[in-house]
Amino acid sequence: MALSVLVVDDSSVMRSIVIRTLRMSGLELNEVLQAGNGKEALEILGKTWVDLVLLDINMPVMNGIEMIESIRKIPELSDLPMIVVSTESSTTRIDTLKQRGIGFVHKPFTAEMLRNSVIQLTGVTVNETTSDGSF
Amino acid sequence: MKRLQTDLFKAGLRVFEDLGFLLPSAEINEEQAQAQTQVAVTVEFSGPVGGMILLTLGGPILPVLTANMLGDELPTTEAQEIDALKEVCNVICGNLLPNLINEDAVFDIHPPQVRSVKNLESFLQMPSIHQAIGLEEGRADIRLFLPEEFLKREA
Repeated sequence: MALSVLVVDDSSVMRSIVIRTLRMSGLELNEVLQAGNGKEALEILGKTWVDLVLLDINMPVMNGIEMIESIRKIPELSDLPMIVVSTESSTTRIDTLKQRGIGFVHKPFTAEMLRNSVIQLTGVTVNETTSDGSF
Repeated sequence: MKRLQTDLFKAGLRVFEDLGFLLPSAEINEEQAQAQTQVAVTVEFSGPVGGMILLTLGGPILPVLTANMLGDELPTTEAQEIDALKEVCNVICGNLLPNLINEDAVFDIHPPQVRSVKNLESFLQMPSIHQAIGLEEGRADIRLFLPEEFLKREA
């Protein structure tokens, strides 16, 4: 299954890194959308279906935690797979996210780390012919 | 002080290697030592202990770092370079914080702020833990500012 993905980070450079890493990971991708904060992301999610959201925590306007809480309140999106890609290092916060069914990838990350997290959360399989396995 | 300096070096090393695809080194050669500071950024954090990280880059390293992060060819735009600089400092901070107290400690990392290179003197006079990292034809200087009593306890 080709994934439609929304990447949410206030850093355009980090969004580019996440998207490039996703493409290198061997995962089959459909549409890849971008947003600079949680509010922009919610606007996109109101108009477009995506299979997976990759989001940062520390963002202006609406941060990642507020965004997750907002998404979970929307019945059609309450099961949407989400992976936090962040510099967050507190095991207390990371465990809280994982208990809520949110994936977590720590910055800096490798293609393998990102791919494993996506596979674990969505159950998709990797197109081995395009996977280089490393970053 | 030695322990946190080592942690600072490891955090910087990891970020410049894994995010910037550079070959950082603890040893600074003559060219790197003489590289003039070009850009500066700070990231403040709060939690069980508050503090700040100041990252400065000397020499022509920021465009290379930015292009590497983007997976693009040079030239890069100034906006991309500032964004890359902020992100690098942010990730260094996030990788360092678990070493300050323990891995359970909850910190808030505040948005990075670009600083004028001309106005760094006040920061440089404050007590800090400093680690220089050699980066190709340039140098990164990472300074960790913590409350004085915390620095004394770590010394």
